[in-house]
Amino acid sequence: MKKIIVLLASVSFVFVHANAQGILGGKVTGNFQTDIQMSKEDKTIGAQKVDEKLLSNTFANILYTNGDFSAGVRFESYLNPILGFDKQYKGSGVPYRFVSYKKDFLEITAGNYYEQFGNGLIFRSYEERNLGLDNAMDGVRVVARPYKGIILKGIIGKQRYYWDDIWQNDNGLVRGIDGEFSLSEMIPSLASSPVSLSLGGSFVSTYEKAGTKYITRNNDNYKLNLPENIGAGAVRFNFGYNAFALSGEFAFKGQDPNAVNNYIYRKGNAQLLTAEYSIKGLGIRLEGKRIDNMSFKSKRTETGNMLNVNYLPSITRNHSYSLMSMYSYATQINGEIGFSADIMYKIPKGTLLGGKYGTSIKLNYSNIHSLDMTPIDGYALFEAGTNGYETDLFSIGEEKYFSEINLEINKKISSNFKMNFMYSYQEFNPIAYGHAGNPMIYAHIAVIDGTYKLAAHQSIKGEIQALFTKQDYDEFAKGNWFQYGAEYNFAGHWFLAASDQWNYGTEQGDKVHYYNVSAGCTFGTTRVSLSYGKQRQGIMCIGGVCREVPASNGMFMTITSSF
Amino acid sequence: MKILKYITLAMLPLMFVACDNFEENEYVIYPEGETSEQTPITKKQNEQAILLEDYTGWSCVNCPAAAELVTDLQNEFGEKLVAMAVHAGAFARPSSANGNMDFRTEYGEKWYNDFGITSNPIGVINRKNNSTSSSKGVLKDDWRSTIVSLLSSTKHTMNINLGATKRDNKFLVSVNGEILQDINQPVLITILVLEDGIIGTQLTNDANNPMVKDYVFNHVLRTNGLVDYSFFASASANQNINKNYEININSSWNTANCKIVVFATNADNGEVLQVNEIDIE
Amino acid sequence: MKKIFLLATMVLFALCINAQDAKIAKIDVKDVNGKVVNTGSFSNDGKPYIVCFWATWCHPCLDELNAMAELYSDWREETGVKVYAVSIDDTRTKGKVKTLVNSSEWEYEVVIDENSDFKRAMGVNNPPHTFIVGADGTILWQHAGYAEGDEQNTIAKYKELSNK
Repeated sequence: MKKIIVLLASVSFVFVHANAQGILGGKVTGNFQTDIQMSKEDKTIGAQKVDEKLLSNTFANILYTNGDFSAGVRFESYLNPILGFDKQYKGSGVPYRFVSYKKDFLEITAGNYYEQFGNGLIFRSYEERNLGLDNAMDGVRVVARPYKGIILKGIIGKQRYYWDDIWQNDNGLVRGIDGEFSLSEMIPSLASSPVSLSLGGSFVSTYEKAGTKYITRNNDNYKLNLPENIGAGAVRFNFGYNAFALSGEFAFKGQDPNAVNNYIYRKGNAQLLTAEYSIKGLGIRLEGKRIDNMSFKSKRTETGNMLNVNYLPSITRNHSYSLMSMYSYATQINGEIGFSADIMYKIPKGTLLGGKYGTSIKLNYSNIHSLDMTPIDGYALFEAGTNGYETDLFSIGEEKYFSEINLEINKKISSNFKMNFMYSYQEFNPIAYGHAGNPMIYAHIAVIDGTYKLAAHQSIKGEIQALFTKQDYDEFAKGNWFQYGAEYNFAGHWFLAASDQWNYGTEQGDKVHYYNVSAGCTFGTTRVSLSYGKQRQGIMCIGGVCREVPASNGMFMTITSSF
Repeated sequence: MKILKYITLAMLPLMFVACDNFEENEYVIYPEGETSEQTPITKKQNEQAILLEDYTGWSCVNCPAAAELVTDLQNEFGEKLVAMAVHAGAFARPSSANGNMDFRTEYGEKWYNDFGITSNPIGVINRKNNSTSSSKGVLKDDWRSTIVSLLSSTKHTMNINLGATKRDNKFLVSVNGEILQDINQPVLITILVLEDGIIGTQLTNDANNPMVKDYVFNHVLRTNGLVDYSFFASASANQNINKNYEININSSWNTANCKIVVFATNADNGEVLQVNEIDIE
Repeated sequence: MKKIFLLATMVLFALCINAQDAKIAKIDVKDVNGKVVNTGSFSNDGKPYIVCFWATWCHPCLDELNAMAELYSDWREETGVKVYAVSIDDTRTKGKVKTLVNSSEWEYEVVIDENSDFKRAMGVNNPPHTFIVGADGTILWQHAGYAEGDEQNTIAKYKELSNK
């Protein structure tokens, strides 16, 4: 670690020095974010006392580019981590640093890097800062573009694990290769046709020492024969013909008994298929996804959000209205099958429904079920040290995990007034929040918001949201909610907002209000926002990954800037 | 052609991809060495005993004195002390000078490193953690006092009753574990073969006789430990378990001089809870 | 010791912030049909162009792009502007990009930055984030966030910069 910082320091020194003499020109870009939180105890909403009084997370990226050479560092500091972030993040340092160089058709990166093969079904290294998720690779990556339309990638390294010295711990090594072949570019006759076709394939494998794992069966103890090398492969295609497109990826994984799948030896597989038709003003999309025992981490015993080698997002709609996302689904990595459909249509201008500006309508449906699993003869379902279960490719299980239908209408009424309306009906199985076996939650949610432009740089926005459900039985199923708020933007740089989220008709009565006021400004790329109020306990999901955010009552400040 | 070279280079990781694959009947392993064959339990235990591991080597000139001390201590404490000589580390490395006689075992080498032993002779007593050092080693001069203090301070939590016999080319060992007081931890047992009366070369610090060619090595550790990690999943008072193990006999052993040592350790801290030994019948 | 080196590194880096104007990063992204496009090849007939970071799930982004879409054909005629809309949707939502773009009748050049490589290289914190990039790739202006009416600022800035 220290060596690398010294290296970076001296490299940067050389370049800066040289730059001053006008020999080498270097460009520096970067960005910065800091979050500061103060929260006090509040029993009505379950906010815990924060001993440290003040919590803060800070990130600063600095990127240096000079022609074909680039280098970067990220400084992170969690003193102490804001609520909802893993306490293991406490500390500060430089978890991310790299140097990269391009020469002819080769690009070599040493140090940390992010990368994704295909859709990420077998490999994705990425960061999701708001979830405290970072599985940056540390090692070497080579990207080769030997011929027009061909991209080959090779990666090797280990993944970040909080502040661990990863080269000292026993976490597994990850290595892989990927090839992407754009036939449309490689074959001249295809280039001019309306057909586009690209194919890709990848292999990834992890190596982790076997270690020892004992299991108990019939009151006797057995040792598991653990595989040390776990391989996974995937093939993908992307086909387009005029307005029609079809793409898919099929992934396979070798035996990988681990803590997430309860040490079963069944091989994993996953399928992702998307069909789409879109023309000006209309888009239709269908997506199917099936996951069968695809937990893939570089450490057998890890169960949290860290050390994921692959990425299996849910295909449900990603909502940004807060009550719409109260029950957001998270991929069931051990097995699920589902599909989603979207129809987006813009009613043309000048028609009866379209009005002067046109009206856009978006309809979305998704439905996800368990796999139909049969236990192995003589064993329980998912029994450790067995194949775990059997299932067929197209058999759908009886348990519903999630379904949703939602309709969104965006309408510009006049040159200075526009409205959005959205309705959603969701059926949510609490298994997604780790509470398997609890009653399903059935929720109707409606949102209406409107923005009125008062002047060139002055607008006011009002918003009403409501969630209706009969299920009121636990922390995660708390009955009806009503939310209203307003936001005022002025002088081109400033905003003021106030809102209240009200949990009414619950067993605790109607008293739980989550008031929040905020203000902020944006100047160029610097944005400062300050809010004060209560934040409900909830689960925040981005992609297929969720994190629990505890309730808080206090101040929250965010500063972001880019340069 | 250069392109091909790079492509080949990029494909290299493919070779690693070979993933490990087990057949369905290979997923779980029955604990190694366990057998259903039994031999009668002939050696009962009813008091606390202490395990003394003497880390030694043929080229360690101060080691014969330690070996003599072990004999003295065994005479003094009788069945309350089980001793074994672990030949490991640099002093145990064979050479032409000792006729390439090699008493080292993987098991002994592993503990030599794990216990942080850097000099010989040194003892490890009941695998007790040392409060002031990461090494578990105890200097020879402190052996007696450590044993005395451990005998009075160690809680008598369990007994190990043993039976052992030679059957064909195997030693058959039956172990009966009795828990007297709650331990509330998994208890694992280790089964070892020791051999007495091996004649070989030993260097000494006696200027008149620096190389003894007919030195007698006693209670020499001969095997890698056969460890049953799941003897008691969580030991609580009045539990009683019988298990049987088999150990393949190495042709270099004089089976008439062999004995079996079985000790129980607390899975939590690796310290010895109880130890017993039995001669082969 | 480590901290001192760290500090030194950062100070040295910071020293060259003003050394030269930064250029657009050259990163592989994909067009809506899955074809790889390098951001270094972004161009607009020798004129500056606009790069907007957005995502299908980001309301302010959609507000911004929709607001610009209404004015886009007028702007193009008047100034010759070209907008690259860089979606940072990942596997979860990237499938909706093309559907949304077509149904919304956007005329932008849309590319997908699936693993946020371009976003990271450009130092973007959160979408929306808008850049004006010169014909030589130099970053002339940037702005984070979107408030009603910001699109007018952007085009005014564009006019100012392209007349230089």
